[in-house]
Amino acid sequence: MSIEALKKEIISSAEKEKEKIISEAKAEAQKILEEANERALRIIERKRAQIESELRNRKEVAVAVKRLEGKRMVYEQIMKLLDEVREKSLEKIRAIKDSDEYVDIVSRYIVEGLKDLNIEEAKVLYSSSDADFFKTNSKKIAEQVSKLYGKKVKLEFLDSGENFLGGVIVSDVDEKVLYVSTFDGRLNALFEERLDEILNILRGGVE
Amino acid sequence: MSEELNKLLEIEREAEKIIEAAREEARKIIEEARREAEEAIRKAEESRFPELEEKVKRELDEELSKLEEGYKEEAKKVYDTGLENLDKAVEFVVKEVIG
Repeated sequence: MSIEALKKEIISSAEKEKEKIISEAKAEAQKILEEANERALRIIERKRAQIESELRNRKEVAVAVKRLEGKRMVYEQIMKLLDEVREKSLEKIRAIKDSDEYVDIVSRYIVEGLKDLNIEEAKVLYSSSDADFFKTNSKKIAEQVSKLYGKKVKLEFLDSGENFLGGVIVSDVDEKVLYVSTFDGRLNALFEERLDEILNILRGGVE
Repeated sequence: MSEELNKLLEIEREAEKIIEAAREEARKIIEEARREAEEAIRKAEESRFPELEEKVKRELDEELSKLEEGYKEEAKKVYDTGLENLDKAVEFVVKEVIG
C-alpha cells in the first residue's frame, strides 16, 4: 500500500472516530438535558403544590378569623340587647319600688324565705336605701306576711348596712341561714341561669 | 525507508489531532449541556406563581367580603328582632324578678 493510500485510510478512520465521539457526546448532552428538564418539571410541580397548599392554609385561616369576627359582631349585638334589657328592667324595677306594689313584693319574698328556711320567726334585712320604706311599712308587711303564710309570724326588720337595689334577705334569728331575695340577686340569677329564655324572647320565640 | 516512516508518523499525528479535536468538541458539548441543565433546574427552583397567588387572593377577598356581609346582615337582623321584642324580654325579666 502506498503512503497516500495509507494516509487516506488513517485519516478516514480518524474522521469516523471523530464522528462517533461527537455523536456520543451529543447523545449524552441530550440525555443530560432531558433528565434536567424532567427534574425541573418535577421541581415546578412540587413547588406549585407547595404554594397551593400554603395558599389553601392561609385561606382557611383567613376564613376562620373572619367567621370569628363575624360571630363576635353578632355576639356584640346580643350583648348590647341584653344590656338594654337589663337597663330597662332596672328602670321598671326602680319604678315599682316607688309604687304600692313594693309592699306586696317584699311580703311575698319574705314568705318565700320563711318557707324555704321553714321558720316562723325571722330577721328581715333590708337595703339601707330602703330604710324609710321599712320604717313606714314594716307593720303592714308583717301583717301581710302572716296572712300569706297562713299563721302568725314574728319578724324583726333590720337595716343590713348595705345598699342594694331592693328586696330583702331573710334569716333565722341566729342569722345562721340566709335566704337572699334581693332584686340584684334575683336579676343576676335570672341573667345567669335563664339567659336562654331571655334570648329566646329577644329572638321572637315564645316565653 | 526513513522518509516513509516520518510521513507515516506525521499522518498518525494528524489523525491524533483530529481525534483530540473531536474529544475537545465533545467535552464542550457536554459541558454546555450540563450548564443548560443547571440553569433549567435553577430556574425551576426559583419559579414563582404570581398568577396563582393573585387568583387565590381574588377568590379569598370575594369570600371574605361575602362572609362579612352575611354576618353584618345577621347582626343587624338579630339586633332589629331583639329591639322588636325588647319590651317582652323586659316584661319577662321584671315579672321573674318581682316574683
